[in-house]
Amino acid sequence: MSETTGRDPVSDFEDAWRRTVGEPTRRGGAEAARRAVDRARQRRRRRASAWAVAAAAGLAALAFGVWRAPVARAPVAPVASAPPFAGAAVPATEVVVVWLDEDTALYMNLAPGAVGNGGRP
Amino acid sequence: MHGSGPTRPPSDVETADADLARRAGQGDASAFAVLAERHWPRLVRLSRSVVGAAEAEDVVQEGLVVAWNRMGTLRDPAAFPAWMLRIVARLAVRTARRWSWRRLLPFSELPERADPAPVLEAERRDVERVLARLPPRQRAVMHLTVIEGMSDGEIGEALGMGAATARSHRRKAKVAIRRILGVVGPGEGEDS
Repeated sequence: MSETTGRDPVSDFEDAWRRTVGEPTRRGGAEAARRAVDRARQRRRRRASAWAVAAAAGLAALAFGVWRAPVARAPVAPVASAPPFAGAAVPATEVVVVWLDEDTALYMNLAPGAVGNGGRP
Repeated sequence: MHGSGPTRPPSDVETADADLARRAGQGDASAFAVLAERHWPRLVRLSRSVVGAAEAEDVVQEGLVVAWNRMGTLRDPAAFPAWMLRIVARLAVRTARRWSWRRLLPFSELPERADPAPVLEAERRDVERVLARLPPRQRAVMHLTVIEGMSDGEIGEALGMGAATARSHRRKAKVAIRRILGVVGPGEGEDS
């Protein structure tokens, strides 16, 4: 490269590459390994604490949800049960009660379509 | 240990590497340090070719962090050198892709060394100028070819690509280098 030999420039380049790439390193491998191990342990600790924070936040959210859930469900129940009551109220207008004596009542349920038909189906 | 049968027995160094890698896999940090010391120069050489001298050692250092975290997953401890080279090669290519080498490494700001030989320094800058104009993967392929003398299959394994892809990268890199060095003009050597 800098000192050309008159050969193929590509060969000169490759020779220069081989010479320069092997220069001494600034750090030693053992020192780098020790730093790497320390760094890996630090990262693992940091990751573990991040998980702990996330798990605590999740548990807190779950606990809040459980505590809050009955309050949220309370108004739902009457709404959900309203249709059966409403449905039961309709046939009540078509019930005929005949008192056979003071203690005995005869209940007759009339189907809605049969009301105008003399009670016959 | 030193016999010369048809199948070559592992050398003392290879045996020691395998033993150290096994111990490192069990969490022995001092064994890992010995391994790193032994392979450091080779790994830094590869990293220099791909990311430049200024970033090279930091990239290898990061590679050691990755290796330490994954030591337990290394199934064949004897494969440590190839495995470590693969980690550093991939990391260096990724790093070089993320940052433009030329932008991060102005040649006037290269770190001074304790005993810089002026001729070697000038040569190094010339070499880096050429390498900086190749895509990172081609730098890695050329390093493993020119400096390590690896086959296409070995290069492919180190860089996570097929042998044919490695060959194609090398061919393109050689054309590019010849062009940069002024050996061929634009449009020449496309099919070489």
